Amino acid sequence: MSQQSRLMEDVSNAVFTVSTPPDVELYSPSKYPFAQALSRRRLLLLFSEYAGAVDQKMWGILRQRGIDGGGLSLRRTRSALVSARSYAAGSKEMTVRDALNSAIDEEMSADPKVFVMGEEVGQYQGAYKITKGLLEKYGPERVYDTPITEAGFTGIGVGAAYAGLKPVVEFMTFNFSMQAIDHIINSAAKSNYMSAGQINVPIVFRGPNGAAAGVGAQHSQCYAAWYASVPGLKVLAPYSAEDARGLLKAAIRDPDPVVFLENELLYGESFPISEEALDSSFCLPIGKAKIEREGKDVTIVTFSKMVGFALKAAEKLAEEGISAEVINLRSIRPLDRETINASVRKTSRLVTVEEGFPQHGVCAEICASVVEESFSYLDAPVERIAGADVPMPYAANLERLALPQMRNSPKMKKPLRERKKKASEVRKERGLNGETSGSVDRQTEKKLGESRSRHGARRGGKSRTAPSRRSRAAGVRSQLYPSRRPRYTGDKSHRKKSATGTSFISSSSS
Amino acid sequence: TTPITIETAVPFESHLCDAPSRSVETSSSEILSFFRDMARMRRMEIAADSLYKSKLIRGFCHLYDGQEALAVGMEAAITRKDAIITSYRDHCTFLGRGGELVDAFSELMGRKRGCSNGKGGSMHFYKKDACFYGGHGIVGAQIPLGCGLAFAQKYSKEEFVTFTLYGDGAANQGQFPAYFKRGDYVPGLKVDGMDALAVKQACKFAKEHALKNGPIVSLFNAFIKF
Repeated sequence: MSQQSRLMEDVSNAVFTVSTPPDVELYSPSKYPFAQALSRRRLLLLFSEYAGAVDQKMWGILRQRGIDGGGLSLRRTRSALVSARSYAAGSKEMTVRDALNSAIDEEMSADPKVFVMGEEVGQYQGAYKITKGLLEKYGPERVYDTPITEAGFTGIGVGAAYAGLKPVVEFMTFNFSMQAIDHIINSAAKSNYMSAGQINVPIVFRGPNGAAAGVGAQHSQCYAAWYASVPGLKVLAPYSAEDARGLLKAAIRDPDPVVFLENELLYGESFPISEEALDSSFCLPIGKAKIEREGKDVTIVTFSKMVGFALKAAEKLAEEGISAEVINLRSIRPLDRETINASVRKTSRLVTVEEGFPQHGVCAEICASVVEESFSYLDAPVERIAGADVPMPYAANLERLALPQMRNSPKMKKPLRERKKKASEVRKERGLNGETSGSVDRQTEKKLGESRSRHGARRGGKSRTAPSRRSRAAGVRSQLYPSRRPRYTGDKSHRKKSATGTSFISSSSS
Repeated sequence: TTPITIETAVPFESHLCDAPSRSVETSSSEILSFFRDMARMRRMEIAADSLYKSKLIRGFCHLYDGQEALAVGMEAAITRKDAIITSYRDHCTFLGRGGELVDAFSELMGRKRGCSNGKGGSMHFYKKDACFYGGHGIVGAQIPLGCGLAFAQKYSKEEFVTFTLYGDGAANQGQFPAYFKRGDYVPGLKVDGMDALAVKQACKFAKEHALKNGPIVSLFNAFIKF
């Protein structure tokens, strides 16, 4: 295969890879309202114009032309070329753990005011080894092991930040931050406002957030929604290694308090990382979301670990012919409403995914923002996929059910033609008679159905798991199955009809 | 400005350290300035009280009547680079740090001229250029914050100290015993808080002690006059 065709192959592959280098401006439909998405073929045709002139030197010139802005297509090609360049050069991989470690290391060496404080950050090398090697490198003057008193050391960190130092306070998990939440919110977040700008608090609170594996209810809560509702705080949630590096560096340099929500299960995952991201001055902007995957049928907005799930789901949807756009929020506060709304205006459908509790969650805020700003562009109600509304169970199967899983999203999995059917017909097909809501997946419903009959056979016809006749009569569905939220069963004729004319929620009394 | 030596009325009591001497070096101008400042503080608090009762000051209003000797005595012993952090009873501490009466009253009444542009209120006076870090509404919150300020001073190797002021309510808050109750090793000093000269002596002693040996807890007995 000639070098030319190999390059064209690389380019067409590279357009659809996950990571685009940070300096490339992302496609935003609000700027190019009449632009169409490029098909692969068109891209290859475009590229063939340059094919004759492509060699190492010309890459730079092509990049230059892209910067001058020849229009959307050139920008897209440029992004492809630049990522193809790092792709072809053999991109390095880095775990999130190493990314965080290197970010803290570089910031500590650049600024002597930065210091690290937390439980087990020093001698133990970090509870999750994020601060490995820092004690040896910077000494006990700058890496502090604290006693187990979050209220105490968080207060000390905030006080040190008042005086101008730049602490990086680690919580072993953000569940423990509740011990110190008064200092995070009342002493750190609000001080700049209350002092009319006299006092700023350049502190970073970081640590793992959300569910780990099998740690139970008190160690699995997601605090994104809690902290993101507070004015005065910035809340960041990285996904990949590049996100982790760029956002943590930005957070440490930021003059305001930043809550940096990591994910324990992502620490060990490796991600490809570009040369720019390995540079010690690399920094990602706070408040900008990243479009991980472009699409045109539905927008999936998410953050942290769920980005990986969304990307996998998007691939599965692509097999069924649905092109999903995946947005990695990166920054929960400030929320990048422009990117989300621009994407919804392009696709007209929105699915938000998070691991936390559904009520008053990040998804709710995104839904409200889209309804406020892009209501007339929506073809369907915004779908929220969140963790179950229940404290995290311990048993592995229950824990799986309480979090969004790959299989636990029937609405995304359903092919387009099936989604257009009335919900009542679908329920009839699946043998459900309205006892369950759509938030439990098909597999679970089947399993429960089986277990019902199994139990019924053993107990002589009376099932243990089914709601008792009395509770059923009383309409209390949530006692035994708290994950099934009661659905509105009244008159839905006021709901908007979809573009094809069928209503998404049954308006008849079936 | 001729130096005068005055003996404090009440002796100091100490725990795990030597008590400072009862003879305080002062001068007539210093004593007069004490009087002027304390009188101004008392008049300010009385005025704030009547404003609060006539609803021109909203929300909370915690007054410093009776403790003025503490604020002026402390200021006489330390510099403007030593940090002070206190609770919500911060009006007179703010004045002691060089704040203007106009700024204080404007803040209390919610005006833009106020020291926090009207956005803080009675409990959130700050004066960063004089190292006064507020003004905190949550009981006991200022204790770890004060530790943090002192930590920063130690980290930057500055020869300044932090005075963290709290009352007997905060003394019970969880954040305080967690750090000081681990064994009886923090030295203490008991001082008559109604005597500005005793306060001055104690604060000077405390600053020297903190710079050499570490934290010291001082108990100032003060009570409200009316």
